[in-house]
Amino acid sequence: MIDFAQTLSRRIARRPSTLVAIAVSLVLLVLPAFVNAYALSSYRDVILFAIFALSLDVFWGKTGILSFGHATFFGLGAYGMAVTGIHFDIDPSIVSLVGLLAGVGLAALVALLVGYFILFGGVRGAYFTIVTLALTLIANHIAVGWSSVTGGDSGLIGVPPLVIFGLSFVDPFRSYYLCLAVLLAFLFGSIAIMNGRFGLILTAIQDDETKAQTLGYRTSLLLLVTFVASASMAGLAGALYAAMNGFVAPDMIALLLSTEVIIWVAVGGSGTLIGAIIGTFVVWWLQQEISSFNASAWPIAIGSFFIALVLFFPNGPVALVSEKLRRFRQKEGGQQ
Amino acid sequence: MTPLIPLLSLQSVSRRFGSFQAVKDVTIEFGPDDLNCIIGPNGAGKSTLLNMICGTLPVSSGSIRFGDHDLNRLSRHQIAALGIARKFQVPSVFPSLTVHENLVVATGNRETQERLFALAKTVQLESMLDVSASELSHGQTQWLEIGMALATNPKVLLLDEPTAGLSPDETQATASFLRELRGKVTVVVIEHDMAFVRDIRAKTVVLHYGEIIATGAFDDIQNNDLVRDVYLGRR
Repeated sequence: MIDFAQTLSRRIARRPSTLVAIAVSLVLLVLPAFVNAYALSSYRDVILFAIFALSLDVFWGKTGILSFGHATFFGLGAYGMAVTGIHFDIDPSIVSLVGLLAGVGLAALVALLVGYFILFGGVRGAYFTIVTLALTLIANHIAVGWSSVTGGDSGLIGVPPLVIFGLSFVDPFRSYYLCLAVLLAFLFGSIAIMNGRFGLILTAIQDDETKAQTLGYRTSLLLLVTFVASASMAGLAGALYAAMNGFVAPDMIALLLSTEVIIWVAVGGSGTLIGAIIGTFVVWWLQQEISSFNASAWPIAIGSFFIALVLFFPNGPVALVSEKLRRFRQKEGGQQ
Repeated sequence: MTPLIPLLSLQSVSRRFGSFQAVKDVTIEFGPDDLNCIIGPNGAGKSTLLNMICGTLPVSSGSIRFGDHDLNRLSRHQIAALGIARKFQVPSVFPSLTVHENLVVATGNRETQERLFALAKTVQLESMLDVSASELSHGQTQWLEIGMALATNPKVLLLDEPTAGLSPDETQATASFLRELRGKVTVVVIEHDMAFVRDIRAKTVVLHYGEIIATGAFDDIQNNDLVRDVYLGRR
């Protein structure tokens, strides 16, 4: 037991972002004790957006390839959930589960098809970003144009509330903890995977893909697996968002959301995983504060904030703190 | 230089870039556990030849076989999986990873921590396992890349200018290291440094403008008039 604790503390000390992740988790776990039901619903939605941001960071942060179309997968998850719940006559006791499967499955399938052709076709870097950007535009056009299914510009209202195995998640307290559980499972699962051999290989591919291939790695396959996993996470976040808010709209599958999620991840520092979550909360908080003064000031503020980040903290504040801690430890180690 | 059972053989291999013929009708056979060297002036087609062997470049014509496998039909990772490892001309390691992590990535799932430490010791980096690869000197980076290639347990080791930028001591250590590999793995070295080639006493192939102009033991090669002309710029 003591050995385990020592090993754990050594690992945590080596990866300060894990320590930050534990601290953030504790704050989120006790948060409901300090806020009312309305605020809790808002925090629940931010948690869902944080899952979405984490999904992007798993791909962008760990492979270095920027997807500008991640809202496609969030939106597909949301529309999958909504269309299943509204247009199909499914037993109410299982409709949520079927909707979740449909949403996640749709996002995963589209990621698999698109990802297969572009990743195995050798599309990387800015070209990948442009293709995924186009994907969001196409998906948005379909969401707006196919109104008999998607509700067009108005979207769909009346998505059945989430009920899983007879347990209802209408109560804000319960729905908050469900979303938090999903977030923490994805966060610590991603940390464990990315700090392990798979994460090392992705970093290696990001550094030098040709070199990784000459060491025997099927890099396109590994990137595709990561892309599909990332899209599935985004799809689940979208499906939960639709079920908990009762509606979907084309905004959820739009370029603006694709841009916003990039900003959330960039603010926290791409590749840190926990940074994506912190970034989402920071930007959301800033948006609330600034919009309370002047609603139209927000786009200017977020743009300026983003430029400042790129200039002064290109890897994000979390990465900056991690780097400072690493240098401090190296200095301490050198003195000993 | 025709071993009885070639492990790696190139038959009439050519490579064109547009109208430029980088490699022309090259036929070479490398036997098991041979130590071989390919020399030639800049632009002779040496790196292009290695690029074709490890699948980085497709051949324009001809065939490259490794045992029973036709390498022309295989992708880079499949060629690597057969046991052909490569050190690039420009040192190519993963700068975001530590020395230890670079070796872990190179081994795949194959090696224990003891074996990793032994590998690091072989390339004289055992005291730098936790150092980021981006902080290594040029020589240490070259050695790390050789260590990574060895970590794959290769049957053929392709080394593109392993002594480029190394100090005389490091070059000597590399020569001694390669001599130790003789009989354990087939090594193909591309090199400019004639003293180094002499030192490792490898079978030598001389390329000039993409064609083989001489093959044999280094002592014979260095007395070859054509080779002397090429290296002295008289041809």
